Amino acid sequence: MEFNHSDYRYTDLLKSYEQLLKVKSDDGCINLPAAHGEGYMYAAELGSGISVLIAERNLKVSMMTQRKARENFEFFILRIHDASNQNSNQKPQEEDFTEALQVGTSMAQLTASHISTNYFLPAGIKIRSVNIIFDKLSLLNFLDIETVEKFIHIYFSFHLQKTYVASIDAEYRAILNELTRDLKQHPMRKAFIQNRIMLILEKFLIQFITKDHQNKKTIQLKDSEINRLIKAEVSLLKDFTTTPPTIEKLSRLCAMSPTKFKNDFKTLYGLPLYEYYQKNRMMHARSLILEGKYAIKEVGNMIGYRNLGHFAAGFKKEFGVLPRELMNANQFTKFIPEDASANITAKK
Amino acid sequence: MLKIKYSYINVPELCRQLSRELNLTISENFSASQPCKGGGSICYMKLPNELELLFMDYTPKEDVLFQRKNPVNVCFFLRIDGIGYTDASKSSVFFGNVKHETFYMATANKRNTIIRILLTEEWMDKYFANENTSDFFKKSIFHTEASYHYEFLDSEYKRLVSEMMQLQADASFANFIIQNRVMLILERFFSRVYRKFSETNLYVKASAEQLERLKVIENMLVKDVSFIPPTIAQLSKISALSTTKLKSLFKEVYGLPVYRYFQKHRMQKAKAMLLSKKYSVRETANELGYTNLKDFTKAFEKNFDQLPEEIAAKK
Repeated sequence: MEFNHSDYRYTDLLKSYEQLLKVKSDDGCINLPAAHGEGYMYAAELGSGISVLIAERNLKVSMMTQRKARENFEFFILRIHDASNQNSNQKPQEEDFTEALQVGTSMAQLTASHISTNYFLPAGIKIRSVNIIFDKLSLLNFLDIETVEKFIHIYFSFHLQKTYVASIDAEYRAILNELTRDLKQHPMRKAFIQNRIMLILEKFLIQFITKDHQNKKTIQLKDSEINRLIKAEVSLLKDFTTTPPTIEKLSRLCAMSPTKFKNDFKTLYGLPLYEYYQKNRMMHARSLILEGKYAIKEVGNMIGYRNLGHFAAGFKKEFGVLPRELMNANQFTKFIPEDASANITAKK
Repeated sequence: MLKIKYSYINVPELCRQLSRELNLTISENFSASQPCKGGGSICYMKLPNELELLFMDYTPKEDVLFQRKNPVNVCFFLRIDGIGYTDASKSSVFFGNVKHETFYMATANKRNTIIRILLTEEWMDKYFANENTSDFFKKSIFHTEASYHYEFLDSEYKRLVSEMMQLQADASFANFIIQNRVMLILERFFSRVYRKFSETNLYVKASAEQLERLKVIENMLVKDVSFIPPTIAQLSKISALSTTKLKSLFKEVYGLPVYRYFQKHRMQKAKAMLLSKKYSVRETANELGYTNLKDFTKAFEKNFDQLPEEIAAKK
């Protein structure tokens, strides 16, 4: 299936999807018809030129989308994709779309309106994505002019011709988790979405600006190497319940020597392999706890801990609080006004 | 005792006034450093989205009584209190409006770490305007006389606050990061207020009628804290709820188990009585149904980390 567009606002894009899929949207959200797969797409305008599309899709038929280039540079597009770890035994069809960026992997991409991009969404994998359109003026709403200029300068001097690709880490995933989990039922939906989008922008912009773009080290990785490393990353995080694959196995998967693999992994993801694994594991535990459906014990088992003490210790190391404390904090407790040294309603 | 009269009409001016009267240094950011006695720091900040923040970290030498005067226009505030405390029950997030005159006391030699977020009516209107739940917030926040809400400063709030105070990124991102954290705190606070009030969202299923009966029980418990309340079995009979249901539902709605809830109110009454200076410690204990003075002292200390005598002795 193919789909072309050049929309500036995702709410307009959603209308095109409505026609294509012959479904009606409800409150900015369309659910995919069963013939196409499972999932939904949600679009909203957040004001001051920021437009977002949030989607969680598991397609039955692979889809190719093309965004046509507009004549001039008008706006930036930031995309965060995260391919789910489940269902991965169902292998995506090996189709050859060499020109297209595979969305079947997890990454952050920054591109702009004057570049056309092809996206290939493979069937059989659950993919969550957040797309954000913004321009210079939207950035000026929360950053000072020098910072915005710096951002644009870096973009135009280093990444003008090609899409800028970065890996996403556990924190991005945690934001995506929250966003897709509560999107439909949050009592303050608009504020909720806006805040998460701002967090994504915050994270991305800080990383983008503070990163050394001239540093050859990151550029030394070839595209094919990055793709292979991403594959290894997905396989590393596929299943937390069993022991993770060894470095040896992973390096074979990437067709690299273990040493090169370890070094390149650290370059791309910023953490040594197992530290990265552990961080993601704990982030996963955290989002499970925040979901409020599981007992601590269950969560521990779900991420492969037999010994709950070890789990608690690992969790505390990562977040500074015990799983139990987080769970208590997450429950709806009614605060009873306490008079303790605070509010003394004028007695004398 | 130092007395300070203030209002939120002009926050930068208020910042200067407090700095003068409390001997605080005006700082540029939210850095919290253990302030020396009789001093500390204060910081005023205006975020890109027009919100005004006032951050204070100080240890007064003597008791300070703050008196808030009536402002001209309607305005709300969210106050985050006791950030540095280890005991979560002593620190809070408090939302209220500034319609009424209030008194507030800062005890001598005790560290105060407070963030105030000022929210004008227009700002709040805009903030809730696009939400599907805006009717609820208008009703419960704008149009009630004494509208205030409390929450414990739990680990999630604490995380957000500490991210605000310990900025690691470039200084040019400071305002952006702080604004995002403030917005997250507001979102978390108001959506939790919403969830507490929309009773259909309870984890324990209960009909409106059952909740009505639960309210009767709650009333019974707090109406008169001077005698020992009925047993759970008796309460369950009165409310026509099974003991298990009563216990879990009560905890869900009121946040504490039945007797701890009762005890908390009892201790608050005790503190109020002692503060009024009309009752001695012994009288207070008797009044509240304690036959053993030691039990009372123990319970009081557990609740407030202070002996009742300390409060009674205070001038």
